[in-house]
Parts: sequence; structure tokens; C-alpha cells
Amino acid sequence: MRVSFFFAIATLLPLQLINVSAALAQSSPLRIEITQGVIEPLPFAIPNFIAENTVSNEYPQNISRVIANDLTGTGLFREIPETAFISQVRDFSASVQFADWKAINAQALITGTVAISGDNLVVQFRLFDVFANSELGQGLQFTGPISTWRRMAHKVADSVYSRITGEGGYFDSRIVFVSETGAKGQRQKRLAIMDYDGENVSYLTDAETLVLVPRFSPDGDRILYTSYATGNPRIHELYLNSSQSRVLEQSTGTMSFSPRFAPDGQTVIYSLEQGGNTDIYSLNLDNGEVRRLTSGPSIDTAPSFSPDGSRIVFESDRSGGQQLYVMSVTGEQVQRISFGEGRYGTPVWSPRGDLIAFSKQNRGRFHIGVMRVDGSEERLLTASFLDESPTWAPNGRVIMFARETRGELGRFSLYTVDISGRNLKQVLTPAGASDPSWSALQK
Amino acid sequence: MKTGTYISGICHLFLVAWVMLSATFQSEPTHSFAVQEVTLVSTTEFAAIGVLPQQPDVLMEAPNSPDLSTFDSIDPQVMTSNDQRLSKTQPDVTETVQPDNPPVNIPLSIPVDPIIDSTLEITPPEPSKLPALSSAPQPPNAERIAPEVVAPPPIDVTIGDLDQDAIAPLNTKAETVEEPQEETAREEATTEIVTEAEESDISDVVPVRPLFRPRELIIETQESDVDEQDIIASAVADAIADVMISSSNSNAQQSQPGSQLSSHEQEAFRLEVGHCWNVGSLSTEALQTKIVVSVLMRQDTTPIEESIKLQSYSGGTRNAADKAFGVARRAIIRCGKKGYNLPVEKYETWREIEIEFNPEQMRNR
Repeated sequence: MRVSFFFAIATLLPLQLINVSAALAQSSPLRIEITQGVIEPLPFAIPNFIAENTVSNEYPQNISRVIANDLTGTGLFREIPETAFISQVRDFSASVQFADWKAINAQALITGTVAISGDNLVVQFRLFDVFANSELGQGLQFTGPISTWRRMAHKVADSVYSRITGEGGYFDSRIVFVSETGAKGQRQKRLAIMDYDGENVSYLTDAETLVLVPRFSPDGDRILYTSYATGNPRIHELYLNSSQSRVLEQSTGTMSFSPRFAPDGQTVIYSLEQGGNTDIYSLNLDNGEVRRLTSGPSIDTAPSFSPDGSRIVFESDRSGGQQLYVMSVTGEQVQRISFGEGRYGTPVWSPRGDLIAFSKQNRGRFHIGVMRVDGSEERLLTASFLDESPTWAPNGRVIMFARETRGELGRFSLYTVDISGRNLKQVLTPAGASDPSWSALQK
Repeated sequence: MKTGTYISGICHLFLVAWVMLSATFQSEPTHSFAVQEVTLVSTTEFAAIGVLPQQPDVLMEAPNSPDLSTFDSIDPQVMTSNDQRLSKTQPDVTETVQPDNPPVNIPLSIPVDPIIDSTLEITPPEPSKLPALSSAPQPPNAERIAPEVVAPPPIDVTIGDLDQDAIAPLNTKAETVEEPQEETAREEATTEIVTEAEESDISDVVPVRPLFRPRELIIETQESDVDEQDIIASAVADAIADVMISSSNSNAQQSQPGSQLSSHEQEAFRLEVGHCWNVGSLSTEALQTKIVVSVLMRQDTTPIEESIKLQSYSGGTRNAADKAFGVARRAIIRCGKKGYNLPVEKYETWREIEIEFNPEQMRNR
């Protein structure tokens, strides 16, 4: 009898476990994993901003257009034309009819007002996540001189971009570059500065002196560049506010070039050619102290600081071919990071610190590419007759570079490309443009 | 949830009833228990024994039988107590206990296979042993837990359920009827066990008696009317069969309410949501962030927007997860505004869904 009882227990116990597991399985929700989606621009709607008080309709419309162009220019957004709108926004404070915007598949809605306050323009905006039926972040207001209306539009676009993507914006930034005019071989080069989108171009130098490779300071208030004003290439520092410049390096019998600021803005690293040998030096702008960071018979040039200022990436032919190397800020612990086929040059450390952009010549073509700071995961983003001089957007998501077209009538132009390799587009400039340098976001 | 509770309750009730009723079959107190040493032999070993010319007709004799040495010679495992033997939930040998009454000599040709194993296999009986089927194939709704010991039902009713074609209704979907039994019998593949108590129409679809009830037990039942071991075995077999049938019903009848979504249905849902999952505007960090989103669904297959919640994330910061969640939420709402292509009859299965959005493969596109 006891045997039978135990037998029953032993047999029924697993049954109970089965029942329990079945009940648990039944109560747990269905689990689905999704790994495949789509990569498409996010559709957004931006009705013309509402004009308040005495402001003319020109500013609201223009500001709306600049915001829309900024967002669509990234390749990440797509504007829904106004003709598709079901409802209009006539009151900035009124509740949004989300159903009307969902119906046209608008996933983000930007509304705003523009008003005049004294001599200033006041711009307000709100961003809505249509499918969440809620506002995305809080409304923001920008105030500034009327002449800076474009900057205010860029700031609105930066906020929208940042709230949706999670990355910092880059619209309220500027580009310093070399403006080129004239036929090939007789080019006249001037330093020029413009908004990131090619607007508001102004010239910093005249065409009498050859200038090369301008570089923004971290604060955007100064520019380093190489000038042939004295016959030999010399590094100059230009103060944008006063348009004053000074020569930083003028040792006899040397050439200095390829300068770049350290993240602190008080140290400059550059290349110095002396007796046929080119090495990398650092210059302390506060006390004028110069330190030699590399030595040897090879050509070491194009240095660029990491964002934290602890390391420097540069190009060198010490191994025979032109390759990329990383060293500490004191010139120690040199490590080669590029091993691919071809010649690597002009490395630039990303503002986020995760990638290094570079130019590459291989099999008769030039490329702009990115790799991780240890040299892994190299990706070539472009390919053309001549691509060079990459520079990072402030958010580390976009690279601008110069591209020259082939032939006698070929000219340099500026292009941008997303680090994914998508959205290659030209930045329109009044003349040829090369050697771009992207500033940080303006304050 | 109710189904599991009912099953659990039935099993508990059975257990309690058995413990209470077991006193009825208590042996005389003057009788003492005799503990029999048990020899364990694998099926293969047993087959090897079967070919020995001196193999006796009985599986095992008394403990002092000199034939025990024969089993020792083929490396048996000897248990010394009943507790040890009962701890094996899945016996792989036949066992013989020395009863008070003279032992029943079981012919070698009958109980060779383990009991549990034989219940898990669906072995159609030999046609010659099939009893005549009744003209009405509908089996009676016999109670599995009897308040008192009763004689087993007539054999023709018991075995009538083996004829699936005669019992399955014509309106049963061909797709589910043709499911292989091996697939439908997997316990882990089901999310719900449908009981007869809840689903009255189940009897129209499947037999009320187990398909795989051991034939040997049925034969024994015919030989001894109120044999205690047979009753136990029968009750256990019934319980096992009920659970297995319920689970196999959940799998096999996939169009039944509460059954699991098929892989095709899951893939269709995956494609629908993926079509709206636009990661083009995500930051590089958000593209490295895996998130799990839960959503409650209406019966009309549209999502309840307010119920969409971020359950967990990994691989990125909270800010990146929030951005990724915004994209995922838009995907669920956008593609679900007209309803997803989900089987309405399986609403209980997809009433709550957890979706893991893994952008790893999207990063490199």
C-alpha cells in the first residue's frame, strides 16, 4: 500500500510541475524580437511660424524655411509640404489636433512664433511628438538682434535635432575655409568664413598672399593658418573679433605648417621643417615654450589632438609608406594604427573621441574614411578624383571635406557626408573652396 | 490562467482523494511489509536475457531465488529500499515487489516496456486486438477522479477513441488536424492547457480518453476487477493523459482560442512592426541600445497607445534608450493604427506583447 502511495506521489509530482509551468507560460506575454527596420528620413511638419505684434511676415516665413532646410539637409528628416496639411496652426498656445497630423503621417510637429521686442527678435517654438500625443521637451524662446535671425533659426533647428535624435546639433556653427578663384595653376586663395550651410560668407584675408589650412580654435574666436606672406610658410594666429593676426613661428631656415589647437586653446601643435626633416612640435601660447614631440628622418605632420587632450594622431612615413600613428601628448608611446593598402593622411580626431577621420589615396583614387582610434573598423565614406581635408561637425556625426573635380577646369568644392556614408551633399559657396575647418557650436 | 488553475486543482483533488481513499485498501495490520530487493535491468539487457535459453518465465522470483545470480552477472543495479526506488520518477526498468499475497507472475510478453514510456508513445494497436467500435464514436464524459473506486469502463468505449477520423469533426481545420503528433505533444510548446471543463467543444475535437493509455493496463483490468495497483496505475495514466491531451490540443488546434501564435503569424507581426521601425533619425548611441517595450492590444488588433511602456534597455544610456523608445513607440502606433494582422481567435495569446527592438543589424546598414 505504501508503495502504491509513493508511486502515485512520484508520478503526480511531475504532472503538477507541468501544470505550473503551463500556467506560467500562459500568463507571460508574447515575446517578439525585431531586428530589421527601415532607415528613412523622419517626416515632420513645420507650419510657418506665427507673426506676433508688428513683425512682418518675412521673418516668420524665413525662419521656418531655415529650420526646415537645416533638418532636411541632414538626411535624417523629411519635410511634409504645407499643401498636405489638414489643419493650420493659428494659435501658438492652442492644443494641437494630433489626429490631423497623424493623418498625414507627420511624426514631429514644430510650431512657433516670431515677435519684435525693441530692437530684438523673439523666436519661440514647440516640438510635438505626434504619435505620442505629447510635446517633446519644453517650449523654448530665443532673443537676439534682428540681423541674427538666421542664427536663431539654426538654434531652433539644433534643439529639434537634438531632441529627436539624441545627438547634439551642428547648425549654429561656422566654417572657415580657403576660397579659391582663378584658373588652375594661378589660383588666388583667401581665407573665408561662412555659416555651416554656406550662407553669410565673408573674407578674412586678401588674395595677395597665399594662405593654407585654416583651423578654428575651440572657442571659435581665433584661427590658425599657414601664410606665405614672408616667402616661406609660417603659422599665423588670427583674432576674429579684431581681425589682428600674429606669426607664431619664425625660426630662421625653417618652414612651419599644418597647425592645430589643443582642446584647451592655449597650446598649438604644428609641423616644422628644418634641414629637410619634418617633425611635430608643440607651442605654449602663454609662455612661448616649444617642445619637440617627434624626431627622426621621417616626415611627421598633420597632428590632431584627441578631445581630452591626452593623445595626438598624426601621419608619418617612418614605416616607408604614409600611415597614421597615435602618440601621447608628450610624444611617447607612438603606435601605428593604420595598416591598410594605400597612403593615409590628414587624420582628425572626432569631437566625440570615438573615431578618426582621414584621407586616403589608393589605386589612383582618393577617399575620406573613418576608423576607430585603435585603427579598427576602417570605413571609406567617399571616393573620387581627389577628396581631402576632412573636418568634423561639432556633434561628430558629419564630416565636411574638399573635393576637386578632374580636368583643367576642375575646381575645389566643399561637401558633407554622414559618418554612415549616406547623405553626401555639396555645400554651395560663391567660389571654389578647400581646406574647411568646422567650428564648435556658437555660444 | 484559469486553465492552469483548473488543471492544478484537479490534480490536487485527485491526490487528496487518493490519500483519503487509500485507507480503504489498507492491508490488515497484522500483516507485515516485506521489503524486496529489486533488480534494475535496462531494456537492452532485458532483451539480452530474453535470448538466454535458461531464461525463466517469470521476471523475478523470491529474494532468495538462486536465479538472482543470473541478473547479477549482467551488471544489475540493486536498490535496497523502496524510497530509493520511488525517487526515480522515470523508471526505466520493471519492478517487482514482494506482496503479502502470492506474487502475480507477469508473462514476459506483456509488461516489458516501462509504464511511463509507453504512455508517451502513441502506438496504434494491432488491428486484431482492436475491439469492435461502437456505432456512435462519441465517447462519454467520464469523470477522471471518481469519489469512490469504480470499475473501469467497458473496453469498447475505452478504445473507441483510438479512431481519430471517426471522432474529429468535419469542421476542424485541416491544417491543425494534420499536425504531427510529435509536434503537438510537446509540453513546452504550449501556453495554455484547454480543459474539457472550460471548453465543452473539445470533446468534439479530441477523444475524452487518453490516446496513449497503456494497452497492458487495459488488459490487466479485464483480468482482475478491483486490483489496487491497477486502479492506481489507471488513475495516474488518466491524469497523465489528461494533461498530455490538453497540452497537445493547445498545440495541435492552433486556431483554437488561446493557442500559441504560429511562427508564420509571429513573423508577419514582426514584419509589420519592422516596416514602421524607422531608425534613420536615431543617434549612433541609440543605435547601440537594445530596448524591450511592452504593449497591450485591443481585440481589434490595434495597440493601446497609453499602454506602451519601456520595460528595459541595455547597451546605452537612459537618454539613448528614451530616444530609441520614441522610435519604437511610433512604429507600434503607426503600423497598428489600422490593426495588425493577428488572429483574433488567439487574442489571449497576443493580448500583451513584449517587443525587443534590437538595432544591431541596422547599425551596419
